[in-house]
Amino acid sequence: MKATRRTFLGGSAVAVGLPFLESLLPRQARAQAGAGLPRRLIFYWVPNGIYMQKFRPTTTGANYQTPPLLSPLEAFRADLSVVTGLENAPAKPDGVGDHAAGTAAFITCAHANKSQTDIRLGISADQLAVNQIGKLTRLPSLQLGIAGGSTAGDCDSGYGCAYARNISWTGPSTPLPKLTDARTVFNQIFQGFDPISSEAEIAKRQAYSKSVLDSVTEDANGLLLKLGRSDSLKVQEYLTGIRELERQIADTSLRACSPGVEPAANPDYPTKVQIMSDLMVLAFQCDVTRVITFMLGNAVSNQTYPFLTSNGAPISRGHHDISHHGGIQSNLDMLFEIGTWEMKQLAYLLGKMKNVSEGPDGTNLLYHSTVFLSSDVSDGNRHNHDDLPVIVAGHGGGTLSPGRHIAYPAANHERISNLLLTVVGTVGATGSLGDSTGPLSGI
Amino acid sequence: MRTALFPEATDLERGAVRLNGCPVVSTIVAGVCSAYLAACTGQIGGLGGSLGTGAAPGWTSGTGAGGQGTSDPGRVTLHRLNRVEYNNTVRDLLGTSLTPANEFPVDDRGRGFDNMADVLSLSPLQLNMYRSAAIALVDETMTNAALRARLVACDLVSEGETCARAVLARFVPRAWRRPVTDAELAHLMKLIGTARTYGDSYEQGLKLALEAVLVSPHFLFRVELDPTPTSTAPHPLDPYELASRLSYFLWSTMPDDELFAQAKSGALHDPATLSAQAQRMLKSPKAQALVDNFAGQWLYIRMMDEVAPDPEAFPKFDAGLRAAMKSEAERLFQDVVAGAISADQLLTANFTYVNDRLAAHYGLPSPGSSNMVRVNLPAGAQRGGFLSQGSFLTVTSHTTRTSPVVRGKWVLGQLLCTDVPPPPPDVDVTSIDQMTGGTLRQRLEAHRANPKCAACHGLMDPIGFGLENYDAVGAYRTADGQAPIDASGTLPSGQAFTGALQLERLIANDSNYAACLVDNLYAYALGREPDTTTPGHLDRSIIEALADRLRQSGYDFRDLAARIVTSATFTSRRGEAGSP
Repeated sequence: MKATRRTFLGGSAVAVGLPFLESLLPRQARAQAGAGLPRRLIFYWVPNGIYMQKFRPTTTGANYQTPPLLSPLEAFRADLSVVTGLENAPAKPDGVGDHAAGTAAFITCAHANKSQTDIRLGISADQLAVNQIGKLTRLPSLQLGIAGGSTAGDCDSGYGCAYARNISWTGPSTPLPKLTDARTVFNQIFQGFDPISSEAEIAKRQAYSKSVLDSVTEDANGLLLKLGRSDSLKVQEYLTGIRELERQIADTSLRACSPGVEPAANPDYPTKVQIMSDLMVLAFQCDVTRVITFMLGNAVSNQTYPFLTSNGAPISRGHHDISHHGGIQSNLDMLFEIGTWEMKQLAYLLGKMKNVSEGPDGTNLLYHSTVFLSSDVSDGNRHNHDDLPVIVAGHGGGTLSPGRHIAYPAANHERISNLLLTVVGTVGATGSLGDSTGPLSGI
Repeated sequence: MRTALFPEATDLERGAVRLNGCPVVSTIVAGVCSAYLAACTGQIGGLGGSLGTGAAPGWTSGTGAGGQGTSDPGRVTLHRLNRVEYNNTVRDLLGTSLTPANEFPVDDRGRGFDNMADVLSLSPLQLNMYRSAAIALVDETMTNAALRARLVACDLVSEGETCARAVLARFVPRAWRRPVTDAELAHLMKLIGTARTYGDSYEQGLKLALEAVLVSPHFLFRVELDPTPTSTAPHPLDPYELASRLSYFLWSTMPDDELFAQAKSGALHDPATLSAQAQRMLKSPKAQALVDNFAGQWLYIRMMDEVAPDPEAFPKFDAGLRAAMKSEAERLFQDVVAGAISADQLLTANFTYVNDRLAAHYGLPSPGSSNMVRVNLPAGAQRGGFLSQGSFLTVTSHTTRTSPVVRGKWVLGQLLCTDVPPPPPDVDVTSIDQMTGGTLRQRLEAHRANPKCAACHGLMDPIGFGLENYDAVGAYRTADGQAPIDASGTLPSGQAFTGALQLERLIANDSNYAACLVDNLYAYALGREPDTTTPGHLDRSIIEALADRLRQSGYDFRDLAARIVTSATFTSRRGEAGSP
């Protein structure tokens, strides 16, 4: 199938070219979603906190004065709200390890069991949404990132690497690992795309695939009878995957969406971030999935930013090192440049989404989506898990009222899990998340 | 067993106060800080004695070894093949040169290694990619004449079903690493029937069956069964399960024909046979897996692929130098695996491997080759042993400068298994870069005037100071900026040294070095975290006995590997209480 698509594409490509797909959007899937256009979610993680003094607007409400870090997002002022004063108490680690515990709790709002191998956390917000809308698309959700993570060493102070590298969890012990290679993401999005084969050929191929999956399902079921508790859990993960594959193979909706061109291999860091943003929008346009998580690195990211300058010099030190700024102005200046760049990446993504018009009423993809951005800690120097930096972009299909700075008083210790319930509520999902007590209203 | 220099939070205090840091919450009083400091210094005196010479259980097979009531061999959770294991396994199973797992998501690491069964979870995406890989592998095997000939020794057109069955009967036991039943074969043969129903060839049917074999849980997982899954009584592994444990430990791949034969004959559980097999396997080129995957992670050699020294600060650091440094470290550990040198010579070797590029970087005579060449090191070369190699010195540095802190922490953590906690939040860890004048050592020493930092840094930094003659990419230097370097250092034990070579000798003679090597290799071998605290568990006593033996054997790495594979925790397992 892969070869078929490459043949169709007719040669190698240099960059992701986004086709205009509006007319090709699969209608069938949309019809299944019920009334209205499909709603989408993105959970966007940035590492090492944010320079809060430059992020937090000094006034609240609709007429808040744009703080310096948010100036790259000025064009989307009416499309997003800045939310401050929220806390993620379960993110506090046992002892040290704020980055891993904070990343693990990012959208699970669950307290990670401190262990290298006994991994226990909780379901994440994106997977709550998947429980509601995952079956409407070929991929229930998509986990994307920039880097797989270091190849050796401790990920953070005694926390297993699973906590430091994954934000999407279907359950306490099952992280959904992310794809960090743009071509692999592209291939996943368009897996099964086949505009050439006849209906009969496709039907036969599906029957064959189903037979193979039936066969291995029998293997797994037979094995289950012979296994104890922990081993059974692994086979249950396997069977969940098989059921998912069966569903994906039966889904031929993608036949109507042209993939465009495969992304370039081995892009540099800033290019890769843009390509990943392109792919997120592409996946939404083709309705391959409606739920995406994105990690701009991994916990304790020490990404260097030599393409940015601060006080006239390239930023050659690592992000995490710099984030322990010690209050020193030159460090804070560098954090400001990195933060500004991060906000520009969000602006790029929001711009792409806003440029995709949807439906006859003149609305766009951003209007029908909700993009949640935050970090594993607030201040990289203090490692605090209150006063978190949060942006909620998009209109959630009209369920949100963006365009404001919403500030919760610190004394209220308002839980970020409750905001996340509001976010997943935009796609109709309900439930509880970590320490949540109920969705926040007035977002 | 790892020694924590800093007691877990619960020891310090529970509840309201942050566990790790003195300064986080303003209400924390100085007394808590003192407790923290005492914790960092207090346990140091106990180092050395912490892994005493307890009663040594046998390392022979069986279930009763160990002290009174000590008989629990533990269990390894169903182990999904990780990326390396998958690539190696399909290479040996099919002869393919494809490496499909390179596209798979990175496997999570626990306890320093990416082969810990408990964290090798399986997501739907990963299963999807395993399936895509299976399809691609079967396609390649059936269309590449050489690969096909290895698999299909009969004529599928004229012999049809008989041929397909013969192919599967030979292939599936290797793929699933155990004998298969007639029922299992019949089950797979149904897929050939499916293809025939659609008017397709036996060839197509066989492809479907092969795909099913490679997507089956019997292939993707290393299955170990308990006679009674809910019983915690220890039992010996099935010989084929033991063969897989051996091959995935020493080779990161499936068993070869010889191992299968030993399993079939029933001889594998005999300690002499097992030991002889381990010795045979360590001599095989496949034992390179121990270098790539064990040493690659234990010694951070893998990180040479990802370090990014600042190009302005280190313009000479390029791809060639990077590759040579990595190769130098790997070649030295190859010698350990091959038995050419003892495991303490990893630190004290008086030779190394360089090519012209690396020799120039080190200031050594050029060997006249772009390939790595073994060279003896003259006195005064300032090289010899892992801690004087570019790989270690680079991966433990910051992008623009050395880090005596990171180097000291690494030596304590990786070579002596003594963990030093990271700095508490809210301390300025970058300010030394803002300081000017003097050497980095002098600035760090001034920095330690802060009592919040001094306790732990007093342990780490003096080790790193002794390595300051090597810059952030491992080049030798005698000055830091304008100021001359003072390479005198101290270990937490109080032993003083000057320079890398003296440090290496001290560590090689430290009993904790043997214990730490054992601890790491043992965890890697089993693919699970050693349990040294549960009463009745065999891990602690076996690890202690292995460490004693390693010291007595003159640091014989191959003897250690052989003793690990003949220990009761490697050859047996138990079920798990509680219903599935």
